[in-house]
Amino acid sequence: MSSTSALARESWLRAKLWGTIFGVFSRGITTYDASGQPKPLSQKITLPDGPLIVVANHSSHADSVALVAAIGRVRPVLVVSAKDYWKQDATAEWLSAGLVGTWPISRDGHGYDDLAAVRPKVEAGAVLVVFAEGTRSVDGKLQEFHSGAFRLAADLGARVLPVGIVGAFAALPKGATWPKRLPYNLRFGVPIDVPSAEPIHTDAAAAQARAQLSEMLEQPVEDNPQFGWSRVRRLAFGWVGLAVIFFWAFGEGVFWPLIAEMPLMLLIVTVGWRWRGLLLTVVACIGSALGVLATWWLVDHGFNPPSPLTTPLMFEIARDQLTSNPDTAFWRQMFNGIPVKVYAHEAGALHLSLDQVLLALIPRMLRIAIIGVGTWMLGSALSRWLKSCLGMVQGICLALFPFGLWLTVGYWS
Amino acid sequence: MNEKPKSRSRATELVGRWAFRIAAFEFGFVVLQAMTFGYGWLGADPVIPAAFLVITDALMLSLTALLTVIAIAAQLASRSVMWHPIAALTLVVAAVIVAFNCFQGVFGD
Repeated sequence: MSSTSALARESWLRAKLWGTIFGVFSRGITTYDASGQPKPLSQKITLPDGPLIVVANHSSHADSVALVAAIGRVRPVLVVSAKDYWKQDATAEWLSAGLVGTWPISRDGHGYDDLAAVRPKVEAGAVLVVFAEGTRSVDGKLQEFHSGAFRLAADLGARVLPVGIVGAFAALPKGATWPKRLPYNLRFGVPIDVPSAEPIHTDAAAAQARAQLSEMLEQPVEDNPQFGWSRVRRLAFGWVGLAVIFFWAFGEGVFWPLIAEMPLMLLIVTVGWRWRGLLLTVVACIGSALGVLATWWLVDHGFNPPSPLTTPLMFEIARDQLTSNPDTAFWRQMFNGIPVKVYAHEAGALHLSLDQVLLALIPRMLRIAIIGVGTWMLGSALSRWLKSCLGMVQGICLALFPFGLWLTVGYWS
Repeated sequence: MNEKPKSRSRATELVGRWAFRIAAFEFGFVVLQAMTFGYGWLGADPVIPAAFLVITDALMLSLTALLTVIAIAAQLASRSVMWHPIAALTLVVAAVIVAFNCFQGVFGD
């Protein structure tokens, strides 16, 4: 039991690892249930209960890991592999056993004995993936099936689930060194019962599986955006996104400790070559400008808004710069990491005129515009890549942001 | 002459070659940063770009070092070592030294 839970844990970790790798090096994996309903990889698939053997077409090295990425999230999974190929040297063995979770079998005529040895794991709940064709197809077409998977299903009382892998051949065919960045579709079929290991039953099951797979492989590859992209894009095109950007930028000019460009960058990467990108940037500029003006006016009239995550040295430097040359002070703020609210505060404390503060807003809005438009263009250029991994990229950026903030505050302490 | 030894798989060779290519890129990138901050091309207090590059370098150099160590271990296990991962390791170490000196100049006392 403990070995099964260990395998379940390993399979889950492998699924996350390969899901991440597919997010970067492909346009993502979409799974389809038997009714044809699509789901991005981040949403769990539903598998039949009980012992299960997945029979899939095989035309690429990406097949195994795509199945591990999808199935390993819900059940422990083992992939049958060729012992002579994947035990060539230490790297190949480590890759196959450690990173994929393979069950190696020999191709010298004793393969079924190796296959049958997996029985306890399948009975304990592991899903066994078998490529019934025995080797990768060189032209992407379905080859003849071997009977081992169907005999094993009969011996174990397991059901056979056909899964069509569409897109892997185009992305990484046999002999290719580097994968093309294309979408992958995993089409799950209807489970097949194999009543006995008699050839008449195994042949019938193989024919049914083959028929289902043939039908699945005729489907065109669909390029669906993944979960994170869809959600962020919806937000970017709605009123809520505009409001978040405006109030964040306004708040940053008054008291909010996180930079105005943060939500702008998070949303603008998804809008593509649409005018919405310009609107989001303009809203952030206006919000920030109003925030700076509000702080200047409040301090000028004797109110001091709170300034979290600032240091006395920041105020001192800002005051020095505004005193010596108010025209260039805000230009120096663009790169130096002192929050704009500190400059706005000191502008109010020094009772600078409205004209001086309005002029000072130019570099402020210019920085937001440069970062906003830059991210907009970058996001549009990389949209095919980001569609599959936006959530991961933004998650990493958000996780690292506090470290950058710590460096900046530390510099001015 | 260029025939690969039988003990070394294609995967082992690929990992070694890519470790070198990535390490060479990393080294060039770090040298460019050292020049940018050393010559003050971004002004007197370039805190935001420097903080961003500290994070980027820490991530990329760690991953490159990991890839290089894996490449060397894989080739040692195959008893057939190419020059690529050795050069990659040298470049990663050099890049770490250059980056450390560069950011010490920005964030140090």
